Amino acid sequence: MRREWVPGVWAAAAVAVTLMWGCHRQQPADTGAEAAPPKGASTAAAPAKAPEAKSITVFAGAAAMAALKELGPMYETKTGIKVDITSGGSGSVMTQFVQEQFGDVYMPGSDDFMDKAEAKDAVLKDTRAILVYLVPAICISKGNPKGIKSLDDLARADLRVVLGEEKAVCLGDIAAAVLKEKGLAEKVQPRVASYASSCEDVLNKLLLGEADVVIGWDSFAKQNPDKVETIPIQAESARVRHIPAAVIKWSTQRDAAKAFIDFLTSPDAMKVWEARGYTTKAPESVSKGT
Amino acid sequence: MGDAYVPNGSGSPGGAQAAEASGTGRLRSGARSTRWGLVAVTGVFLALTAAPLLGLFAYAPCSMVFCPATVVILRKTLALTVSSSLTATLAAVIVGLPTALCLARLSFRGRTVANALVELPISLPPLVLGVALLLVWGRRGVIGSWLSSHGYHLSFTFAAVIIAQFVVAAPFFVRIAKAAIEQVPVSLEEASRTLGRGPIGTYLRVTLPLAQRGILAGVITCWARAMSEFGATIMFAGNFPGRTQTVPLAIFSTMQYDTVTSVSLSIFMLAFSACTFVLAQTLLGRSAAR
Repeated sequence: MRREWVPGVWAAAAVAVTLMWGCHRQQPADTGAEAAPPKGASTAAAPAKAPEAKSITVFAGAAAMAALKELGPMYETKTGIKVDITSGGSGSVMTQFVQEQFGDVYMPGSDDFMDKAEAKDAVLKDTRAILVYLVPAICISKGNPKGIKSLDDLARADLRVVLGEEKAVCLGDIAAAVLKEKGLAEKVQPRVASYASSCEDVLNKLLLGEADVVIGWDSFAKQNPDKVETIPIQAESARVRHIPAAVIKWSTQRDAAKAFIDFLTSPDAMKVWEARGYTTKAPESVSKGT
Repeated sequence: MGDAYVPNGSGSPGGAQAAEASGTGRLRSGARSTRWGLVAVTGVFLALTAAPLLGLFAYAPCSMVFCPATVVILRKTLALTVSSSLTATLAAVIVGLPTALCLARLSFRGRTVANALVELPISLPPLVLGVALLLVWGRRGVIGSWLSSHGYHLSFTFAAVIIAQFVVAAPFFVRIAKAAIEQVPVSLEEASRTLGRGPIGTYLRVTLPLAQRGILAGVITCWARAMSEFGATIMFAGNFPGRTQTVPLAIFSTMQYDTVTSVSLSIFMLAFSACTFVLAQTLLGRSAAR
C-alpha cells in the first residue's frame, strides 16, 4: 500500500521545490529598507552617480514598450544594472505597484495616468520627467482609400469610426473634446463602430480594418509607415500629451531609479525613441497640455 | 455538470459507429434530413468558433513563425510557459484527484457548497482571480505579508505564474476527473471492499484505473488551459520577459508595437494547441482500447 503513495509524494515534492525555487528570496543587501532616503527627501538633485543597485523594476504602460524593449538592454550594457520591465495597461500596472508598494519606476502610456499616480501619492513628483510627446491626429489607412480630408468627414455615413473610451482612455477624452469644440459630437456619434479600451486598441482597430478612421496619435503612422497615415487636427482642444516617467514612492533605490529616468531622456536614448517613431520634440503648432 | 466533458467510460470504443453500422443506431432509424440537419448545425458551430482562427493565417503567413523576431521571443517564453504549465498541471493532479474523489464519492455536510466553490473559478474572469491572488499572496496580502516578513516574495515571480495557472486550470481538471469517477459503478468498488481491499486500495486499484480515460482528458484540458492562461498571470505575476512572461503575455505585449510578430506567435500557439489535442485524442483512443 505504501508504495502506491511514492509517486504522489515525489510529484508533490517536485511541485514544492519548483515553487520554492520560483519565489524570490530577498537578500538583506537589496531589501534596501535602510538605504531608502527619508520620506519626502528630494531626489531630483541627487547625483545619478554609480548607483549600487543590481537591478531596477519598471512598471510601464504598453505604449512605451516599442522603445523600452531596446532601451532596457541598452542601459544594462552601459551600466551593468538589469532593467526588469513589466508592461500592461497603464492603470493596471499602477494598481499592481500601489497594492504591492513595490517597484522603482512608473512609466504610463500618457500623462493623465501619472496625474492619477501623483494624486494617489504613489510617485515622487520632483522626479517626474517628460520622455516623448504624443500629438493627436486623424489616423487613416495608408493611401487614404476613403478620401478623408478633415474632421468633418467623420460624420460621413459610409465611414466606421473608432474612438477611445471617454474618461478611461486619454485619446477618448481628446476625441470627445475636439468633436465638441467643432460641433461634431452628435453627428459623429452614429458613425462610431466601437469605443477602444486603450490607445493601442485604437491603433489595432485601424490596423485590423475594424475602423476606417480613428482619432489617434501621430506616432501611429511613424510606427506603421506602411499601413497608417495621419491628417493633422486643427483644434484648440487637440492638446499635445506626453509619455512621462517618475520614481515610485516605495522604491528602495531611488537614486538608481532616477538615474534610469535620466538615461531615458539622454541624447542616446532619444535616438532610439526617434527611430521607433516617437515624437521627441514638442510641436509648436498645437497647444501644450500638461 | 451536464456540460462537462464526460468520457465514454463504460461504453466500448467506437460504440456509436458500431451501433450505426449494425443498423440499430438512432441516426440510421431517423430521417436522413435529421442527419443533414445535425451536420449543418455543426458546420455553423465550426464557422462561428474555429473559422475566425483562419483569419490569423490571412494576416501573417505561417513562415513568419520562423522569422527572427518570433523565434527570439519564443526562445525566451516557450520553456517558461511549458515548465510552469506542467508544474501547475502536476499540482492540479496531486491536489485535484483527492478532491475529485471526495466530491464524487463522499457525502458530507457542505458538499454542495464545496462543489460550487470548486466550479466558481471557472465562471470568473481570470483577471479577477489575479487580483484576488495579489490581495492574498502579494507583498501586502493576508498571507503574502507574512511571507514577506520572512524575506519571501511570491508576486511577480515564476512561482506566481505557476500559482496563477493552477488556480485557473485546476478547477477544469477537478470537474472532468469528478465526472469520470462518477461514471465508475459503485458496485465494483463495493466488490473490491468485500474482497478485502481498504478504501484507499480500492480507489487506487479500482476507481482510478476505470476512470483513467476521463482523468487523462482532464489532465490535457488542464494543461492546455494553463498554457493559454493570461489574465490571472499578468495581474499576479506581471509581464517580466525572461521571468514571468509566458507566450500569451508575449502575444499581448507584441500586439502593442508589432502586430505581425504577435499574430505569428498566435499561429504558433494555435499549432501547439492543435498538436496537444491530436496527442490527447491519440492517448485517449489508446486508453479506451485497453
